[in-house]
Amino acid sequence: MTDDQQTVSTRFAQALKPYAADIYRTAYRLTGNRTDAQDLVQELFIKLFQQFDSWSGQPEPVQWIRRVLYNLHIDLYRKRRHIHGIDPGTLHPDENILDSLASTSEGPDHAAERAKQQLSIQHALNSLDVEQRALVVLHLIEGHTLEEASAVLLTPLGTLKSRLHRCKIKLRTLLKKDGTFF
Amino acid sequence: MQCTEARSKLNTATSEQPYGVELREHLASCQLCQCYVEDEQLTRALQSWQVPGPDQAFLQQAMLRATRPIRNSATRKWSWLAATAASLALVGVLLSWMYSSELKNGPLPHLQMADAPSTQSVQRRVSIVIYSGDEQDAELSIALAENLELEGFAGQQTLTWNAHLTKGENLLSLPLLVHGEGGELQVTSRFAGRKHQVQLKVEAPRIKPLDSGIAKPNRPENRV
Repeated sequence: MTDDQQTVSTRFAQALKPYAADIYRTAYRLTGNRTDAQDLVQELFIKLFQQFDSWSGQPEPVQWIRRVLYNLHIDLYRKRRHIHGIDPGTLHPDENILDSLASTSEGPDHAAERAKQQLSIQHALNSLDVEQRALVVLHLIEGHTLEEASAVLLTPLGTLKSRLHRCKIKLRTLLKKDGTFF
Repeated sequence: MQCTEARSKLNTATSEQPYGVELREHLASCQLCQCYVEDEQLTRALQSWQVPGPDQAFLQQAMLRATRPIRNSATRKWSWLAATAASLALVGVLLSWMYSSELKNGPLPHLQMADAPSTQSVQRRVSIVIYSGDEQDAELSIALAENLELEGFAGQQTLTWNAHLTKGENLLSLPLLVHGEGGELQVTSRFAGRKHQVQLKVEAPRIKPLDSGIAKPNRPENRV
């Protein structure tokens, strides 16, 4: 790597570092498992490096990064026609989700109940299509307004409102049926 | 009770100070506030979902890979390569790759090539059999160590393309150039909602017969 390349690489890493952990968590929420989250983050970093000049000078680069992340995820999902969420072939829920969530200070019953709730949420989210899930993650879980979501997902506000309404009905029905939350 | 007051009380209700009688009566008669409660419950349930943080080593690696210099711009559609991969050209050494415990848990299989000075480049063809239960599309990707090169793709250490799998065995034959001591080759395929991966060490010296522990394609337990 030349000196110039090294400098750009260092600047890129420094620019990205404050957001990296949050980016990963969002990727995990979108994909539902660690393997796909890592793949998505890797693809995102490559794309962000290619577009570094476009976003590095912005006062709030996280907005740009978020937009690229969500749309990259949707594009990749459409290409791969992947099934979201827990893939029993590659991840075992007990190993990858329950162990990482269980607190050592909790009693076994409470930990098991909480783990069950976590899986219920995963399964409910898995029932959504990629665009619905992106909206739920962006708006309901991460707390962005619908206007912000519209700017990130490049989708009209009215479309998002209809989509959100359908998502809420679907999720409530599934979580009620499951009985862990309602 | 007005809705604004009801919602204010809803937001401040706790297990120690649950809903009062007046609030419950309002909720029983107000569809809008009932929806509000359900929305709040749903949002809280979703926000209670905890996701793990990233492995710091992964983040560092990912940033490193993203900034690795690439001479040619990477593109994703290699339909002609997919067509080549789908053809049944049986050349060179055949490696069986199946979704089996032997391959998953055993040591990395590796090939050894004829003795050669470490500075020379040696041609090797690595062939992998992908078994598909149905005719379907797949995404294939390969990741090459620094000392490996796919012929015709100099400078590209990772390649991803779409391929169409036929039902049964599909051969992926990779013409490699092994520079110096060689290195690791990783082949990943994604189809039918699953990801399959195999890693191989491709080294510079002598070609030897396959390790006996490598699964053969026609063993039922090795089929995907």
